[in-house]
Amino acid sequence: MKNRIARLALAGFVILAAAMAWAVQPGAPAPDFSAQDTHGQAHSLAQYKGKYVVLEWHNRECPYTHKHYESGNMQRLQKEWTAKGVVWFTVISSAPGTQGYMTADQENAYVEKVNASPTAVLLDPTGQLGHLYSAKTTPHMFVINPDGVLIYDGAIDDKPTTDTDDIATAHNYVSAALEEAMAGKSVNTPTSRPYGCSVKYAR
Amino acid sequence: MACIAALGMIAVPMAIAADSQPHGTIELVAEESSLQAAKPLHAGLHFKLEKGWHIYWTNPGDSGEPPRVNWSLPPGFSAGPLEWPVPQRIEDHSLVDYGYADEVLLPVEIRPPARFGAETKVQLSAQVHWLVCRETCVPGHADLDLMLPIGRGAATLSNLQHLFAQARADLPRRVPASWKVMATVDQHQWTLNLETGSREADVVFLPLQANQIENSAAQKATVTSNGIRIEIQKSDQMLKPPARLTGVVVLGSKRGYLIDTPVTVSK
Repeated sequence: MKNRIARLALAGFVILAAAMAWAVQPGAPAPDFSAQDTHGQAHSLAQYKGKYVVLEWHNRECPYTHKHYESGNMQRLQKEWTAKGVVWFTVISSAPGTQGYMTADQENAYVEKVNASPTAVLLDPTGQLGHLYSAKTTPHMFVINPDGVLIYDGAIDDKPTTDTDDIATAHNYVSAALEEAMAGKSVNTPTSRPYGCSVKYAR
Repeated sequence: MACIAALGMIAVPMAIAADSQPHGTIELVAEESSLQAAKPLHAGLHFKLEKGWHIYWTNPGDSGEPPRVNWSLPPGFSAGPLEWPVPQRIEDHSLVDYGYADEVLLPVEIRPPARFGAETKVQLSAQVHWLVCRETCVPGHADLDLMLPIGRGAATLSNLQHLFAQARADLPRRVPASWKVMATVDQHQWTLNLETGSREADVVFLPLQANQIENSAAQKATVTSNGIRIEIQKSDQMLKPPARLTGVVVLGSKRGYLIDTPVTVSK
């Protein structure tokens, strides 16, 4: 009897843990997803267990996204971190007919033109992935550790402006989270207010 | 700026410096037509926006950026912070921002020195950055100058009085001493209990800090015998409760009150 109660209690805990996983919150498991990239390849979060994963919400026509691509800042981050084994997904959640919506071909041409080097660009025109993570702005950045736990959710840095001159003096939260986690430390700033344009979800 | 000269030539009052911008105009304005030593000047940034476009409150909400200003003032002058009239809750796709559409004056107090030297006029300069959005967003930038004579006896610009009076009326006011305000947070939601002494029909809470409430969540208001209670979903990004909850509660259509209350954590 005692055993059964313990088992019931355990089952309750598992359900609770699953329910809590819905809240996208640093320290909690990041929700799994499956999405197609611009080359027709499917990617799930689960398949990258054991690696750090960065999610970057993107809208090339948004002045805040533009700030980080015009300056080469985003490309530098992509290059630096993918070289260190990090999986970097650029995600486009703009609905068809809204600003920043791209077909696979348009996006591939853009990636080449601006010399971007994410692991892949995930196309999310239904906004399913964006809503799963409550992505609010472009950019909005998430960092997931090799155990699948979300360790950062927020802005790319601490200068919420469209001015490229601010990048040099900004504190980059994504790099900080990756550096701290890779050094075995806890992440000093696990959340911040993401800044940018609103994600152009389907209405 | 060139526009100052142009405005002077068409005999527009001196206390206006306007700049035409994408999707609207911005002006640096003053309620008084001259400066008095040691007397604060009531100045402000006056935005007039094209239909459908908006700028942002000090807490912009889920997206956007508030206007910010860098002052270049003569020695001995100082500028207070921008003041923020009660904003609108603006739905933007499935997100919620806080800001202003159509027209808004953001007041700011300019404090002149205790006494002036030989000068007869003074130039106040503001470098302003802001973001204006509709479906898309455009950053704005303007360098605004305001030349004011040093006066003997205050003269008020009657054509701007209405604008300043409106902005003052729209600023959130202090909570009356008779009110009781209680903020509680648990794992999922905030409960803000307002005892105002009378039944309140309607309330909206606008947070002054980011990452406390879920901006886009519906706010559930319950009328009580002596006030109103409001339940709001907690932000997923709030990892630990803040010591205090700060924000503006709007009762009825536009009566805003500044809330700054200690937070009780409940299990």
